[in-house]
Amino acid sequence: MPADQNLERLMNEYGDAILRMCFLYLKDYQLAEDAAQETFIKAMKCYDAFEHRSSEKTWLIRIAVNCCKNMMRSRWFQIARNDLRDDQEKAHDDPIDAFLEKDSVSRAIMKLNANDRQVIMLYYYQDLSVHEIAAVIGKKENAVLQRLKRARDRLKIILEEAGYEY
Amino acid sequence: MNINMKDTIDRELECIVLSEEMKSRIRKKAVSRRRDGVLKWAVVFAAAVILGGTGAAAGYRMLITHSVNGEVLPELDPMRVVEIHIPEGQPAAFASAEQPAAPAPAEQPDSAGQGELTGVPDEYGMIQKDYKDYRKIQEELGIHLLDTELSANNPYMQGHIMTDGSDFAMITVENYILGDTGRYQFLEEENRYAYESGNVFLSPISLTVRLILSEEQLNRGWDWEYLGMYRFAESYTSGQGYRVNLVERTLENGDTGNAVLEKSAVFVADGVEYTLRGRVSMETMKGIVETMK
Repeated sequence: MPADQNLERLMNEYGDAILRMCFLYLKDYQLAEDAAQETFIKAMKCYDAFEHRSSEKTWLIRIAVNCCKNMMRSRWFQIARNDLRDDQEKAHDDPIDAFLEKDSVSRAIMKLNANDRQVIMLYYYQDLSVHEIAAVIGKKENAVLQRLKRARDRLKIILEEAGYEY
Repeated sequence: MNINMKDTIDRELECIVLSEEMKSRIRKKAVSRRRDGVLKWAVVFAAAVILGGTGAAAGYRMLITHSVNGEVLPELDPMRVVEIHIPEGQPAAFASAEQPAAPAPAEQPDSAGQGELTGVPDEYGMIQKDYKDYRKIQEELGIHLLDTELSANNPYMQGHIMTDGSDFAMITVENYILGDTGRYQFLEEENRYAYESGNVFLSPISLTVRLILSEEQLNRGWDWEYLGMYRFAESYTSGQGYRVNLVERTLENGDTGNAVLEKSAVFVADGVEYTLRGRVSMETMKGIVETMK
């Protein structure tokens, strides 16, 4: 299939879910847009080299997760977050409010730390198996299981506080 | 779990979609990259990702083009192809797989996060590795790069190499120069250090080094664009003879007010591009450039 058609197919099939995952991960819409955009650009650059050792979806999610991680580790992420915090303080407003209700499940996930958020999103939102998650984050399956259990326990507490039956 | 997580999240975030505008931007950039066959640099500043088109004509050797909000900056010295050492071996736990959380220096052995780059790229073609020492990066790549005494005895460096192993390599070193910043604390979740600003250095200085590894990349060149709250401040020749461009961050009104905002000094030395970035005065940034030898 020509590269242009592959790009269209990837964006149509996975675009919304990738963007939403980046938003949950980065907790910032603008950064999520950048991460999603970079994900598809990288995917197209390397599509020919994709060896189909994993499913296309797992491969794309792995690229997205790495894009998010790279953003989180860079200093301008910190600066952007600081700027955001300053703006919030000025406006006494939370920009996530624009997207989410106070007691939403998405907001509960955003209260988790980055590692917990990651494994919860991959398992529950992206429907990846433990085996696939292990491939995405470069950990052994046992480690993923442990991390998933821990993250689930923490999420349970947050959801119950928000009035959800878990 | 009683909640259908996926459906719930999709419902809650239904207004977040990959819009036609975004798709169009991606198409433009993804397709142009593939046609070029050589990576063009993606520069991420604030919230902008820009890939420029050099319009390279056959037979012409393109220089780097920097621009700020459409204003093309003065030319820097030319780059050249450099050779780096990328040993063959087993894949390492690259940053692209998962960042190992670097503990605070007191808890971190000298060898932590360091090791040999291997020639095995990940699934999307990039070889990446974290380091905590700029000199170690140079040793491993087998090249000599500019350095400054101001970065000596610094346990808080966070270095990183990214290369496709054929056309380009990019080295980044966060907290390269600490100045009078202090009270560094490692934030494990974010894999970075928090610090307190000093009187002169409102932030530490980071260093980015870009290397061209192939004639093809050299002939193609690359464009950079700073978009949004940036302005071109000055171009000058340093004491060592480097042509330096200074770009500074601005406030929303395009001015800098009285605030000491981030400055970037970009120059090419011995065919290698260096960018120093941090919240210091223009004079301090120029002074730092003078120490790069």
